[in-house]
Amino acid sequence: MYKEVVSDKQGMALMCVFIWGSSILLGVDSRAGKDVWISLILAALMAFPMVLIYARILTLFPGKDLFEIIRKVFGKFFGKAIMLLFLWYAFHLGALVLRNFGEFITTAGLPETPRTVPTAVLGLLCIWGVKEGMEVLGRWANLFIFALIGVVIGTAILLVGEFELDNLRPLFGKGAEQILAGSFSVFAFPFAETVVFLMVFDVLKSKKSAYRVFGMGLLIGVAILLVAALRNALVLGEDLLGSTYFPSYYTIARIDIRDFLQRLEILIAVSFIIAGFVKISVCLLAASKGIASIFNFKDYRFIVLPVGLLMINLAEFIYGSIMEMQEWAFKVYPYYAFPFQVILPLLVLVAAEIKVRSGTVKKEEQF
Amino acid sequence: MGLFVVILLYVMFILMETVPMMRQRRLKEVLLYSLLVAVSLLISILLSLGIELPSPAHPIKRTILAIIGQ
Repeated sequence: MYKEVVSDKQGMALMCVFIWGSSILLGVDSRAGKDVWISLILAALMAFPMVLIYARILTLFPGKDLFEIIRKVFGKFFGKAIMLLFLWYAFHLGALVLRNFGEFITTAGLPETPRTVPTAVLGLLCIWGVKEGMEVLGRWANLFIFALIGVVIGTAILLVGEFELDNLRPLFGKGAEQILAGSFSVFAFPFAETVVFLMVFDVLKSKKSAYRVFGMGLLIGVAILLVAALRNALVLGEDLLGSTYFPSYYTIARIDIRDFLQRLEILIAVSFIIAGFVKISVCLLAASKGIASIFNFKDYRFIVLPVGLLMINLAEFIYGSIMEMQEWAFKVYPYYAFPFQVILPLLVLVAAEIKVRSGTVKKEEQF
Repeated sequence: MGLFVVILLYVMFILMETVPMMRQRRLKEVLLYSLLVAVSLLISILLSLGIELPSPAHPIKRTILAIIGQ
């Protein structure tokens, strides 16, 4: 069978676009108020060792995805329980992002349209994308990453006139506790969500690529997210930042150059569709692969459509309202995601290291 | 109206996907496929009839708030 390969560059682009996925629109946790950028940097520092752990897991078994690794390391029965947990996480995350998208379109763009319509349309597009495979997603990300970087940096430059330095001063206004709480939330959403890539990166080129892809991907992702967060904080100020659902959208809406260059907020909507598509697709791919490997099927493609439809359904009834979505994303989600993002990967890493070192599982060289 | 569109879409998808699989006699895959599609169709019909389903978000939230003690 033809084996798909994603180059390092495409892998990095996928990581970056995935990290921006919903944060480019929802912003990061604004609990820290004026110091939101400090908590972003702290979160990145926390996330860096974590992605190195993810990369290490992939390097131990090159050419395998997380589900195969778990089966090899934990055996059939115990392994399946862990697989089920990871599978649920990927599935749930995809549904959450899909719901964000639906809420955004009905709040900001098409208020008369039922939310189901944008959700279902994007969901079907993702199903198609996933059926075409990882390579297609990689090429898509590689193509559009520059557009996304351009949008973030370009709008920041256009907004320089609106910047108010007082929106960042004084430093540490809310105290260390709030900053740390904020950074914990930013760590879980979006940085450590990259754990989903463990489940789909059996397509990397060589053994070393995992470190490059995860490390560089996180670095570029953090840099651009930092620009976006600073831009939002400088323009909107603490109070507005905390009270809007889609801070980037309202920030960009401030652009007005001589009554000529205005209404650029559509750029944010478009970037969210581009990046959200990648994020949902990667989650859907991971969930489909999980189901396929739990039931011992080699190929995941046949199951993509049912899983995608289930995801659309879950996105439809998971929250009652946008307020609930906001509360869940920033208050509950970090604690909910912690086991999936930190504890389980650590467990897998320790078990894998023991198995590989003791020689129970033969280290396979396939390149 | 919504119900009609939902069922039409499902029938279209199922025909598009299962017929080639049946031709190749991949019966196990068809079985898993139809199981998942059936669950999904059931949820879709209930949702389009306007029935509120219990969301998994609430029990997760309650459990987590109980664990972190807030």
